[in-house]
Parts: sequence; C-alpha cells; structure tokens
Amino acid sequence: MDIQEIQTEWGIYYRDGGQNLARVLKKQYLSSQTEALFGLIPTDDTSYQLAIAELSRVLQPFQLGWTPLGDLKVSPITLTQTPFKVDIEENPDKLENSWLGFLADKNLNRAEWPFVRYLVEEHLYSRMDEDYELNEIYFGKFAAPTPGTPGAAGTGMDGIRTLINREIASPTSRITPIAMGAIPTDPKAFCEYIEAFVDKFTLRYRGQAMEVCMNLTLARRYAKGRHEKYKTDIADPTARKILDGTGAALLTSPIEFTNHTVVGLLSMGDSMKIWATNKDNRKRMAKKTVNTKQVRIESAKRQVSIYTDFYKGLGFPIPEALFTNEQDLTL
Amino acid sequence: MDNPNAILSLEDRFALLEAQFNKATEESAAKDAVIAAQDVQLAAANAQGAGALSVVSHEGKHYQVLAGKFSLDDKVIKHTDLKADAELVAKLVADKSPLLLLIETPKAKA
Repeated sequence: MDIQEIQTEWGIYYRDGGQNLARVLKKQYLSSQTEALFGLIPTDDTSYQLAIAELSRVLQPFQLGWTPLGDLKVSPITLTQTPFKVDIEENPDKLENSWLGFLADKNLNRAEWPFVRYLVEEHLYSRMDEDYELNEIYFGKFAAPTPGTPGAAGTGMDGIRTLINREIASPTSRITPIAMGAIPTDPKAFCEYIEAFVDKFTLRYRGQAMEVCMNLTLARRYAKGRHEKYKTDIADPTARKILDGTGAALLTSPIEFTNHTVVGLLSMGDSMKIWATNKDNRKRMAKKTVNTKQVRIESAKRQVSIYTDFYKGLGFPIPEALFTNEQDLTL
Repeated sequence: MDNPNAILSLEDRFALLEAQFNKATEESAAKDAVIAAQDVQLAAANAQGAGALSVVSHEGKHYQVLAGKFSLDDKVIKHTDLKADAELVAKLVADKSPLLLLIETPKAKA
C-alpha cells in the first residue's frame, strides 16, 4: 500500500479525530459488462471440445439407378480457458502511524484487521472486474508469464479481438470480414454504414437476432445517426439508453428493419472493429468460478497475503456465424 | 558470308562482330528483365517469410494481406486472388484498407 501522501500531509501519527471509512472515498471502478453477453459453459476442462456437423446436399432428381448423395461432415471445435490469479501482499502495520490508523487493530493476527476486509470487499473484486473488462476480455492475447514476475496486463487469455483476428489470419479462415471502407465520422452516414454492414450478413444467419458490438464512441455515433435518420424513436426507451456512470448498463440501439441491436462495449476501447454474432455462438467457460468472489487470506508473522485463482475463456463455436468489418486486423 | 571459311574483308568482319554484339546485348537485356521480375517475386516471397498469407506488391512496396479471405461488394476474395489482381491491390492501397499491412522491403543480401 502507498500512504505516503497521507503521512506527508497529516503527519506520521494517528489521532482519533472521528475519521472512519465514510470519509475514505473510493474511485469508481468500471464494471465487467462484456462477459454477460456470453453464455456460460461451466466446465473443469481447460480445453473444451465441441463438434459441428453439416449434411451436404441430399435431394436429387429421380432415376432408377442407385446414386447415393450426401455426406455428413463433422468438424472439431476447441474452446480453451486459461488460469488467472490474484496475489496481494500487505503489511498493515504501516497504517498505525497515520490518519488511516482506524483501519488497524490490536489483534495480533493482521488478517483480521478491518483494513483487510475493507481492501477485499470494497476494492479487490471491483478491480478484478475492471481489469478483466479493460485488459483481457477483448484485447487479451495470451503470453506465458516470466517466472517470478507478474505477467503484463492483457496477456492472461485470448480475448475477443485475438480470437477473431487469429481466425481471419488463417489461410482457411472461416470468418469472412466484410470490407466496408473507412468508418464514417458523420452519425447519419455511420448509421447507414451499419445498416449496409448487417445487410451483408449471409442469409443463413441474417434472420437471427444478433448483438452488433462496437466501441462506445461508435455506439453513441450510431444512436445519434439513427435518431437523425428516422426521428421515430423518441418515445422508444430501448433507443434512448445511455451508459450510466458505473458502466453497469449497456448502450444499446436497435437496427431498423432487422432483428439486430447495436451494443456499445467498454472493453473495446478505441478499436474500430465491429463484430456480430448470435447469442448461441458466444460462449464463455469458467472453472472455479466461486473463486472470483472469494479469496484466501493468510497472515505470516506480520504480513498478510490475499490470493485467489480461477479460469476464464471465450469462444465462438461457429466462426461462419460471426460477422465483422475489416478494421483492426493485426494480431 | 555463307562460307564460314571464306576470307572476310575487314568491313565484313566488323559488321559480323557488330551484329553478334547487338544480339548479345539484346539477349542480356531480356535476361535482365526476367531477373528483375524474379527479384520482385523473390522480394515478395522473402517479405512473406514463413507467413501463410500472401504478400502483394504495389509500386515497389510490399503489403501483407491480413485476411485469408474477405468480402468486397458481395464477392468473396481469397488472399491468393489478390496476387493476380493488381487493380484490386491498387484500389485497396489507395483506400488505405486495413486488409493490407505495409511491410518493410527486405534488404538485398550483400
């Protein structure tokens, strides 16, 4: 912990002036919202295997001869999940000679001091959610950590961007990015860009309801452009949603004449990629999920260690059912 | 000069040597053109390296194609198709399409 500024400002001593947690304000953390778009596959398998089957043409004109036609092709699909962990080490004795002394205690077991509970309940879980949303779920690209050093942000798992771009970069890619040209900055032109984009979804999947995901700036641009173009949605509450301060609600706007909805995702930062697929094709895996909301707290001598670990992973079982533009393709 | 054993005058021998020289020069120029074309292909192949996707060239610069296939104007185009479609490559380069990534021209080996 870093309480240097508190001690510099208010001295290296504790004086009970009535201060308490109500006077320790908390910076707002951003919530994890992208994960909710994915259907959960609870599994202990770190590599989860599925198969997709398709029967080729069987109908043929009649003739007396026996002319077999039709093959069932079954292809493998593998979804993977990777382990994450939290390791925190604190020395709460630092608090005693500071304005924050009320978070210390006389108990010799530092793990039971109020500070530890405050740290875990008020900050740790929220920060984990924010880290996952901003670094991992979209921008994540797995890289094995250097032993003995905490791994860099965004290297814990393969996120949405990596999964899509890796498939696109395959010579036998099953995702076909739609070349749409530069993204318009004018809201109305951008609304038309999105309408043209969804019109190019293949017929097999076009009728299925899809969330068309993009960064928040683009989602707002779409909402404004749609309003400008149609001006019919003033009384439609689904079209007027905006992202609230905590980031708990999604920015969504329907796309006219389709089953699709534009969704603005915090996790997408400034990525210009736009991607869409149906709900059944968005899967997430989780192992030891209970550990995302519980930690082990140990004290050794005067130090407190807080830790937890769990697995997370994402996947799109049917890549052909995922549609994206041609932006932000580098791996 | 039908008989190769005939004794040639100085002018005839000069004309013969000049003709041979001109022919050799033309052949050399043709070979140079072939080598230059192969150099471009080799540079593109070097730029592609071990990557699986095609590298295309336009105005002396090499571009890595970033998608195995993509859809443009309702037509699916494979990365290999771009190698034979200089017009489309030129259009994508002019449009600054994110489908192409400019890569450094590999330095010629000494």
